[in-house]
Amino acid sequence: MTVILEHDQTLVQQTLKGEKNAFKRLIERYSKLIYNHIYRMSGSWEMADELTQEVFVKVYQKLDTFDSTKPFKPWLMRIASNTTLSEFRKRSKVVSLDALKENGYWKEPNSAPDTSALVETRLSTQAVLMLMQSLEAKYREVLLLRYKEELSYEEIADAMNTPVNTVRTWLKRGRDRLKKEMAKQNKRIVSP
Amino acid sequence: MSDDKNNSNSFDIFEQKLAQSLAELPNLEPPSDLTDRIMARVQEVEKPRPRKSLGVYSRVRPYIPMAAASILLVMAIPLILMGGPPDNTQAPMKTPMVVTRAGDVKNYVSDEKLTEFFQTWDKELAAEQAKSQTSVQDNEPLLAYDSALSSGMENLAETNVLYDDPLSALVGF
Repeated sequence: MTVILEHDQTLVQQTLKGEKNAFKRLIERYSKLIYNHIYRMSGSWEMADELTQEVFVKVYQKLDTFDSTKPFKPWLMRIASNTTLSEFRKRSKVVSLDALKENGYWKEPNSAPDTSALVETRLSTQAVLMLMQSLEAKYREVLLLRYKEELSYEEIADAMNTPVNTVRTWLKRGRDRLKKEMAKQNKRIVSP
Repeated sequence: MSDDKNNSNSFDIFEQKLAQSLAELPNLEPPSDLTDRIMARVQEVEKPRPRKSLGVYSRVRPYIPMAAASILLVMAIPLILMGGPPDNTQAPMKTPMVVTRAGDVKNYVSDEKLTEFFQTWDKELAAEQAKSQTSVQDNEPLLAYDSALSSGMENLAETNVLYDDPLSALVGF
């Protein structure tokens, strides 16, 4: 971990000195992370492709403001988060849950609602991801950073530029709302 | 209580499953040319850009003539509504002011005005006098009464007889 951290700092310093290959190595290291994160946030490969480019261009432009005493990844995630949320505000991103059925992500239930078993028995992993699109972007992002990227509360707070307690609150609300949304969708399909 | 516990357990299961589902999400490989495209955009950013204009002034400059015209138009609106500037030729002439040697400010009246004034005054005075003469002729009976009264009083004084009523004295009582 320490080796990687030092390596990130070294690459940043080399980039600031004008070494293009150093920045290219940073892209190769983190583009997959950013690309997948934006896709999970947006549900769109096109947006993931477009915004990943934009994120790294911003990183390059703001690299001189990066604090070398801190880890690079949360700083990069912050830029990715701001860029993605800003794009959502522009596009007013709303994903219809009916699209879940059309895309085959939603499996028709065979019994009464049972939210404790939903994730296991009735929703594929992709369906969970798609259902998350109904959440506000901040809840979606905090859930992904926590459970997918496995960042600590402090790292999420740093990435989202918000206090740690707010991160805890958003995580709880995000889980609650996702659970309610699943129960609602299940009930709607069982008794239309 | 048991419901709360069940809910809590249910939530724990939900959280575990959610975390498991999200963690299992595959990390897909981005397009192979993504790095090259990013680097191309970075090169674009780094290329010297045409010098930007001088900031706020250059952005505002095209609008200055229009803004000036608008301001003039706004200033002209009250004049247009009032029907143009005031016509001094129709204003009543004011008495010119003069300053005497002592420093007093007095109204100055021209000689022509003074002559006209006194002529008018003379005419009015003459008319008053003529009117008063006419009124004397009209009041002759009263004047005769006054003279008779005067002579009667004199006669009474001579006879030392006092009457309360001067009219009674006239008729002899």
